[in-house]
Amino acid sequence: MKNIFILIATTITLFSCKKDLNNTGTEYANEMYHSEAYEPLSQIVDEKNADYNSNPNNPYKMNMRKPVTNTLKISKFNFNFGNSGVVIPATYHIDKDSFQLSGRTLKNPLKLKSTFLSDSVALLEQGKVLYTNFCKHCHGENGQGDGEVGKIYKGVPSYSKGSVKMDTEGHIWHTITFGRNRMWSHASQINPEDRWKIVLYVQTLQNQE
Amino acid sequence: MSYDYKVLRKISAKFTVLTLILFSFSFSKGQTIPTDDAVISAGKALFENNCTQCHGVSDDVVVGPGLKGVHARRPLPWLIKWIKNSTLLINSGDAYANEIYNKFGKTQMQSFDFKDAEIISIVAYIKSESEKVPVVAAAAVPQGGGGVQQVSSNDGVSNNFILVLFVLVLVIILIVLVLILSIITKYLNSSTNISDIDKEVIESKFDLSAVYNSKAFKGIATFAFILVIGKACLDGLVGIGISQGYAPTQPIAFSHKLHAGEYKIGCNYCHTGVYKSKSASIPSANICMNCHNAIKQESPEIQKIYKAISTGRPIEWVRVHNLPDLANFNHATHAKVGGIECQQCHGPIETMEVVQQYSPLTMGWCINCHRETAVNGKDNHYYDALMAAHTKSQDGNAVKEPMKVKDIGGLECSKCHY
Repeated sequence: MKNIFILIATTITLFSCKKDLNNTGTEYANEMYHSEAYEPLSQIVDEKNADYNSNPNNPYKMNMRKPVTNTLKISKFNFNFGNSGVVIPATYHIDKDSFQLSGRTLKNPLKLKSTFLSDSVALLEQGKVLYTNFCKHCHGENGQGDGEVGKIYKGVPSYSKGSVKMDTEGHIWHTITFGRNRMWSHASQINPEDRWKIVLYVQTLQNQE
Repeated sequence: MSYDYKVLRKISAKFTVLTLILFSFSFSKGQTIPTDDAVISAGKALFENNCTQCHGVSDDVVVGPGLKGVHARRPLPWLIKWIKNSTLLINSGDAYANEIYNKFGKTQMQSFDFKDAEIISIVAYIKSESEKVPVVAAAAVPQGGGGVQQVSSNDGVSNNFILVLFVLVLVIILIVLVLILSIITKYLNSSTNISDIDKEVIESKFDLSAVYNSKAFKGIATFAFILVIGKACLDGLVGIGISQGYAPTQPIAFSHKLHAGEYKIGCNYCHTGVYKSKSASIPSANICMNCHNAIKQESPEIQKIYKAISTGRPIEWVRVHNLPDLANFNHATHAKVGGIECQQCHGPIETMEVVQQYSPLTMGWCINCHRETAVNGKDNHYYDALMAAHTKSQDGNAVKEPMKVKDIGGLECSKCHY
């Protein structure tokens, strides 16, 4: 009887061993895993930890800092598109509410030059990939506003119906940059060049039956 | 005479205009919203094409107010004026128009170049929808909302149910067997005419200690014990420095299963650096806000994002995949140039409630992939000459094996360690 009891006790004890999901496991030579230098994505903020590598002089011991004041944004300058000679002008001076103005004046620089960029099919394909990554979950695969997120977020229009069908390339670009109605600005995620590529693809969706 | 004629003409013209105005006024005043199916379906098309981005036929605010019952709230002429040019109506000092304008954050409603009849058809559609909305909503909610979850939870329940049933059946069989045994023993004991040998069998007790004490049992037990302990020790030693399966609790219970799995948001949407830089990057809170400015605002987990934004204190996510400093890994090289799917290294991330380290991230694991993977030269002119060179061996025979990463230096130390 005693034996059986011991057996059961051991079994329970052994099976109750569980992996601690918050534990990285044994580390050999910690200095190699945790950078001594300040790194933004692998900070150890606990001062008692031997691998402490956070900057005590910054707010919240952040290793990453905002650029100093008066730093010029790269978007203040014209953007050279590859070796093609296409320059994407810094047209950011248009006010964020001026959809009519941007719709009239902004033109897609990717369309202007036809030597290097004559391969518009490739550009359109890149636009489609970008559309899939950044727009599809709300606007839907065919731009009908029926993406999985769009259905619960609400207020996502169809590209090929009503007034949206008539929106010009500049208008679309301005919308991605500053947001419109319920859509927020996507300027921090998509750079100007990629936005123009998306515009190319969205225009094909506008013109679908 | 001619003078009178002119005056008469003027008067009659004025009168005609006046009557027309009066007539149109009384007409629009007395206008009723049509309930004709053709008009309603025309209004439906117009509404869906032009209005749904800002309005819904419910009480919920999308961008502008929910339009359920708007035909009862406002008179038709007012609606027509408002839709045609809301700014004009606001500037004319209309009290209701100004109230609406201020209530919705002074957002101007776009002007629509509709004909009166078109606006009336839209209102007709809204009216017909408003009156049947409760039925539609009641039917739609269980389909849309809990559909996916219900199915999955049902699956779990049925699986558990089968298991429990199985165990129950086994227990019942056991009880029945024990009962039969006791009945037979009782019966045999009560009967007198049985031999001594049989009696011995009936009265014999199963002795466990005999099994324990047997040499064979001891031997097997010792062997198994050593095997288990040995395996555990080896695993522990080999696993030093490998955090496979590490799934730390994050400051915000963000679910990749929900966002990437159910709502199919692409990885690149939040991890913006993945095709452009070394690090895939952790999304900043403004990307969360692209949706969560309106969705699930009241959830305590979402409140943490709002707090981070308002205080400027960043969210301290716990790093899951940590490659030692001595190895250089570039996301853009692998995901953009190599065209590798995120899931190949990160595992089925779209099914993970809490992200865990899926791959061992050891050097052997890296190298093995470099040995096996063919170079992705599609649409990449950089590799054209190399690809051409690797289709033929030195003696002129065609090479069947495609160019692997190892062939272009994927095994060189200094490719990753520098």
